[in-house]
Amino acid sequence: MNAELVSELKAPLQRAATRARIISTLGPATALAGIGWALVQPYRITLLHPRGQDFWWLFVEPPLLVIAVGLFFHFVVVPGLLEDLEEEHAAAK
Amino acid sequence: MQPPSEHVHWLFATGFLLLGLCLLGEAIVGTEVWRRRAWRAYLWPGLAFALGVLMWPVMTFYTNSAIHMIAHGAWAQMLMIAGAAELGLVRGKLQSQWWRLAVTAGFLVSGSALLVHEQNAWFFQRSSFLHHLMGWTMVVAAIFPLARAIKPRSQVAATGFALTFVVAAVMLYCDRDVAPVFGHISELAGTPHR
Amino acid sequence: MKRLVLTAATLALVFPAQAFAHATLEHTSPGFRERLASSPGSVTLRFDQYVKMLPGSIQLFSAKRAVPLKRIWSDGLMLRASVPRLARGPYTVRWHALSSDGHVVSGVFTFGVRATAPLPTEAFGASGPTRSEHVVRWLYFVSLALVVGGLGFRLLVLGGRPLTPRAEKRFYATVGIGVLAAIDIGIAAFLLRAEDALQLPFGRLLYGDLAPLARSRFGDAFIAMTLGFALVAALIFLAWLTDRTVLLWPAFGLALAFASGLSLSGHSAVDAGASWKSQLADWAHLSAACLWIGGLIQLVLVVWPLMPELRRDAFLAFSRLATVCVGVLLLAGIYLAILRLPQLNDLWTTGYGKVLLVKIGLVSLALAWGGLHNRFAVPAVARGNERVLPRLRGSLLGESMVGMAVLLAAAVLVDAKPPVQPAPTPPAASSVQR
Repeated sequence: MNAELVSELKAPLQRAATRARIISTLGPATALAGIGWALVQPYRITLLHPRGQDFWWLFVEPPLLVIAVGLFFHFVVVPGLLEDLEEEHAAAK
Repeated sequence: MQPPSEHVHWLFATGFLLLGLCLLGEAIVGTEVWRRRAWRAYLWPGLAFALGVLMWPVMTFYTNSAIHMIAHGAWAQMLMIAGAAELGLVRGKLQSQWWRLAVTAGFLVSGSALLVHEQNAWFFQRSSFLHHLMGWTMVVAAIFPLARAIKPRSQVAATGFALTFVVAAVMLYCDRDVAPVFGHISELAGTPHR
Repeated sequence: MKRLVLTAATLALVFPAQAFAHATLEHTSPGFRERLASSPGSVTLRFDQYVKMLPGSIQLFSAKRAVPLKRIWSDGLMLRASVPRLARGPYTVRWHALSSDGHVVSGVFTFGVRATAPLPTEAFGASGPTRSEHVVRWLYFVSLALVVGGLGFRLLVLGGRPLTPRAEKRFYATVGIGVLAAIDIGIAAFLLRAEDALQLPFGRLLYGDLAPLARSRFGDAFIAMTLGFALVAALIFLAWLTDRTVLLWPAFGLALAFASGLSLSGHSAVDAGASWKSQLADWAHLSAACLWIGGLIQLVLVVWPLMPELRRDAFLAFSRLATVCVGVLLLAGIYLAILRLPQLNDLWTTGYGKVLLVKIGLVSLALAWGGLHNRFAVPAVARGNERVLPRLRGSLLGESMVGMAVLLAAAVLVDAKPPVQPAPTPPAASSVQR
């Protein structure tokens, strides 16, 4: 095989791998940010230390919401996206 | 059973964060790959439209003041119109890319509503600081949807657009009743609570 | 860039900011529109943040004049005033305070001592409705006609007939403008009513407390209608986006249902003689007018210029709908007129009666116009006389203009106060007891 052709094919493949890696880290990074926030400001999770707060204070926990968004993105959006990325590159090959 | 206003801000922050992540995902993989599945193509514009619809209860049930009502009404309509324009483009009901300027207008109007809503200087106190910061963020970030309308394939425009929502989400999560900012709290603000 | 964003995000997380709100009035004593058995010792206002007192922070008024207050002081989140012994009657409290964010927040509320407290819009010093309110009310009616009449026309007159892309686009544009206008003009109407009650210059009105007005019947209607029409807007948009006309049915149902907010909070709901029948009649009157005028607008703007092949069928079908609408309009209108003006001479001796006379005159003109269409144009069109159809557009436009004028008269009428009804003669037993 021509060496020039191999290097031409390598570049898009590398780009695809990088994209897949970045996409895969978005969700966990968001969830980690939520965990970090919960550690820095534990009082923002009222559930851990309820002091007679009403429903909303127990239902809406910002760091947990951030973690939930990260997990939702990672488990619902990302898998299909990775499959489609792979398909696109297979078609490009 | 009405949630406190700060909780509503946090719930909207969650919506904006998801919106930002979806847009970031689209910016990274490219629009062609992102739109390979129909539900994904409709995801973020649909979310923006739904957030606009959900802003109406906020506007009507939190009628503290006229400025509050006007600002929330403007945000509700801008989110709905911007989401609707993008949905129309995805569906093929709208053809001109210039419809993307609806998002630019949305950013400009929303940012202006935040700035007009705040009459004090940046460091008067915390809420002033955040109003100015969010307002100017929206106004300056209007450059991204504008760039998307002119150069739809621009990676920088797409990434900047996505990050604007992430930053807006972070600012909304920071919203908290009576708390200091940069170690300062006005003596009129009341006792800080956790 | 990324580092900058991360730094900003971290900073913002570590230093949380204050809520996006000025000091909000959380509680008052006496409460909004509270009826007290005896004179209160003080007036207390509690806010969610510290407030600072201003000169004249609390002002008290009886039905006729200002009541001097002994002492006004602020105490953290509270603003208080000790009041002298109050005689029986309605009272108005007007207040102003410096919010922690530097804005002056203001408000008004009423209470009664052994008497019913008036609505905030009828508090001491309140005024209105103004000419701008008449115009806003009129625009509100026009927007309701655009959305309710437009949807009704599409579903009841055109049925399942497909429209050309241009006609479809114009149909959605008119009902879309109608529904957005209904929301925005509704907000403007609410703010103008608040201005009447608060009596503040625009700059301070922006920070005025709207809670007493939001908690009134008018406020409930405003909230329900805003939310309802937001939903209608979403349904209309989805119908356009997905090409599913079936979604217009719930939109039409919701628009008709939420238009009742006006009937449930207006004269038919609060004035003497109000009952469920008067509210139903008012709603039927409004709905019929919207269907009639909105349908005319659709004929003139959509069918005539963009779908000539549909003109004949649409005109004939609309004539049938318009006949029903006019019948309902007249029956409900006559019932409401008798209810509000029990004496015939009220028609020319009271302001309300005079406006009603103007409205009756305009309605008669519109009816005569519609009658001419029915008498001459409908049979000709039904016979297939092709020469009549192109000439009809101008005539339909004229009829819809008269319809708009009827709506303007209706707007002034809604803002006017019907004459006070004579009190029923007390039974003999009660006069003996006294």
